[in-house]
Amino acid sequence: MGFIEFTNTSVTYPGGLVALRDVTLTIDEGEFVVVVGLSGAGKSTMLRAINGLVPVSGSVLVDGREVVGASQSELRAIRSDVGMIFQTFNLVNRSRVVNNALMGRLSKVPRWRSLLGLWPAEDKEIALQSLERVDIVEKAYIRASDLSGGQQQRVGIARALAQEPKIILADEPVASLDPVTSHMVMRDLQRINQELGITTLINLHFLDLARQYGRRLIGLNDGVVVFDGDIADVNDEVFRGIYGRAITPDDLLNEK
Amino acid sequence: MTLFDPETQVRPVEPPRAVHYLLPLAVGIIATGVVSWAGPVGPLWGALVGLATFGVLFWIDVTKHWIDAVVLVVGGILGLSFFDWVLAARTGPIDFKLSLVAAIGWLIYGAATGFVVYRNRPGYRPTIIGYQALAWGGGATLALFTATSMGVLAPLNARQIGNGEIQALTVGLFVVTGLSAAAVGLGANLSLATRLPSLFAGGVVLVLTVMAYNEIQFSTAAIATQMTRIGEIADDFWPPVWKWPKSLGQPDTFNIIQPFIETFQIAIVGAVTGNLLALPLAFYASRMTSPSNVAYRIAKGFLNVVRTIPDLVWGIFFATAVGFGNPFAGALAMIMFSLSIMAKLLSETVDSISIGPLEAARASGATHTQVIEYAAFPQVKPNYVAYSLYIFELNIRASVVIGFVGAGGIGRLLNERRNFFQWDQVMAIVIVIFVSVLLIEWLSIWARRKLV
Repeated sequence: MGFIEFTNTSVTYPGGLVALRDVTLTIDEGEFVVVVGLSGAGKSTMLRAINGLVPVSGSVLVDGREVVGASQSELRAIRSDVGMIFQTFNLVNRSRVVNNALMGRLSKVPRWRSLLGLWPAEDKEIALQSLERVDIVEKAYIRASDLSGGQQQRVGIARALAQEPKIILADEPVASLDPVTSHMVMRDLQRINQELGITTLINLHFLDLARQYGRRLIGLNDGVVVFDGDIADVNDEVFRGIYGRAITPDDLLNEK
Repeated sequence: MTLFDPETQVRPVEPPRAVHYLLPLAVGIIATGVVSWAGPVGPLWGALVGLATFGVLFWIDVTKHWIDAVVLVVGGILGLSFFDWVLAARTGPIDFKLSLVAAIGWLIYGAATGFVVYRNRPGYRPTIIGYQALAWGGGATLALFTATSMGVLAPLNARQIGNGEIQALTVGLFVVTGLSAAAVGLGANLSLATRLPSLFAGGVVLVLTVMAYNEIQFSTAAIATQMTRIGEIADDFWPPVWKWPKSLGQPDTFNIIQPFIETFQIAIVGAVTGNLLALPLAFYASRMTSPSNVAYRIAKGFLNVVRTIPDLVWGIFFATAVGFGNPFAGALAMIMFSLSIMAKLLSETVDSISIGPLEAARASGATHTQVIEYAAFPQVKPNYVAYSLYIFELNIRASVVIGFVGAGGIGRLLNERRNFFQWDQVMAIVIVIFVSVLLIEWLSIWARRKLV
C-alpha cells in the first residue's frame, strides 16, 4: 500500500498548456520525496495528477488503482486515501478548527450523516487525535481565521491526517510561512512520515530545506523530470540542470 | 545610440479642457444675444455664431487661418437663416417633428465646424464632419424640444413667436449645443473613435429620456396647480379613523390588526420557504459550485424566468389559482418573490468565495454536496442570514401590494377601504403599515449588524 506509479504520465490543461510531459517513475511506500523546480515547472501539477485534480493522461497508479479514466466514485475512493496540504492552507476560515479537521472525514462517513452534520463519535475522536498529533488541539473550538499562519498550516496537516491517508501530498507547505515556522512544519511532516509510515511528497522551493529534510529528490523543468535520485547526490551542477541557473540566496530559506 | 535622447522624445500635447471653451463661448453668446435682440435676424447672428466658434477654435489652437473663419461664418449664415425661417414660418406648436426640421439648420452649421476640425487636425477622418453635424443638429433638436415640451417655453407655443424670442431661443441653443459639440469634436487630442460609442449611447439615453418626459406628460405647471389642492386632500385624509363597523349595522371595531397579522404571516411563510428553496438553487447557479455547465445553465435560466415575472403578476396568478382573497395565494407569490431575490444575491456571493477550501474538500474525496455544505456554505453563511432578514423586510412591503390583486392580507383591506372612498380609514391603515415596516426595518438592520 501507499505506492505511486507514473507511466508516461502527461497533463494538458484545457487551454492547451502542457504542464507535465511523459513522466515515468515509481514512488515506494513510506518514501519521503521532495519535488523541486522553478514556479511553472509542473510541481503542483505532478501532485494533483496523483489525486486526479487535473486532466491527466497516460497512467497513474495509486496504491494499485488507476487514476486515469476513473469514475467519480472511484476517484473519490482514491482521494480519500490521499491527504493534501496546501500553500495557502485552504481552511474554511469561518469554521472552527475541529470542523476543518473533520472535513478530512467527509469521505469516510455515510452521506446522510454528513448532510445532517451528525458526526459519529469515533470520527470526532480521529479529528481530535489528528489535531493532537500536530499539537494544536487546544485551539480546537476557535475559528480557523483566528490562528496564525503556522497554526493554520498545522490544522491543514491535521485535516489531511484525519483522512488516515496512505499518501500525503504537500504543495509548497511552507511558502507562506516564516523560517522558524517553516522548520516546525517540515519537522511535523518528517515525523508523520517516520512514525506513521505515510508516503509523503512535498513540493519545495527552498533547496536547503529539501537537503535538510528530504531523502529522495525529483527535479522538474518545464514538465519534464530532469533529476530523480538521492538527495546526497545533489550538487551545484544538478541544481543548474533543474533551475537552468546557479543557486542564489533566494533559493535558500536560511539565507533570507 | 544613447538610451535617452531628449531630441527624440515626443511629448504629447496637453488636451484642451472644457474650461478653455468657456471664455470665447461666453463672449460669442453675449455678442450674439446683444446684436440679435436689437432686431436683425438669421443671417447676421448666423455670422456672429460662426465668428464666435472661430474664436473658440482660435483660442484652443485648432486653427488660426482666415479660410476657416469664412467657412464658419458662411455655415452660420446658411444654417441659422434656415432655422430662423422654419420657426418663423411655422403655423402650429413646436413639436418633435418641427424641432427636427428646424435643427437641420444647425446640422448644416455643425458640418461646417466638422470640416474645420477635419482640415486642421491630423488623424481625423472625414467622418468627423458627419459626427459634428449630428452633434449640433441632435443637440439643437433635443434642446428645442425639451424646452417646449417641458413647459419652460410653454408661452411660446400659445402664439406666434416674435423675432426677439427666436433669437433668445437660438442663444440658448447655442449654449447647449455649443458646449456639447465642443466636447464631442474638439476634445482634439483624445481619439474620437474611443469616445464615439459612449457619446452615441449617451445621446440615445438623452433622446429616450426627453421622449419619456414628454410621453408621461411631465409638467411643472401641473404640479404647481395641483399643489393648491393639497388642503382639500388633507381634509379627506386627516384625522385618521381607526374604527369602523365590520359590516352594515355592526358596532365600530378596530379592524386593522387581524389582516395585518395575516400579512405578517404571508411574509414569514414566503421568506422562510423561498429562502430555503433558494439555497440549493443558488449553488447550482454559480459557476464556482455548479456540478456541471448544464446544471448551471438550467438553474440560471430558471431563475431568470422567475425573476422576470413581477411579484404582482405572481399574486394575480396564484390568486386565480387558489382563490381570490386567499392568503395562501399571497404566500405562494411571496415564495417565488423571495426565491428569485435570494438565489440571485446568494449565487453572486458564492461567485466570489475563495476556491481553496473547495479544492481541499474535493482533494479529500468529498462528494459534490459535501464540498458545497462544508467548504462553500460556511463561507456565505453570514450573508445568507443577512439576506434572509432583508428579504423578510421586502416581503412585508411586497405583500401589502399583493393584497391589492387578491392575495389576502392588509392590502386587501386597504383596497376595500379605498374603493369606499374612506380616505380617513385608509390613512389609519397606512399609518399602521408605515410604523410596522419601520420597526421591522430597524430590527432587521440591528440584527444584520450583530451578524457581521
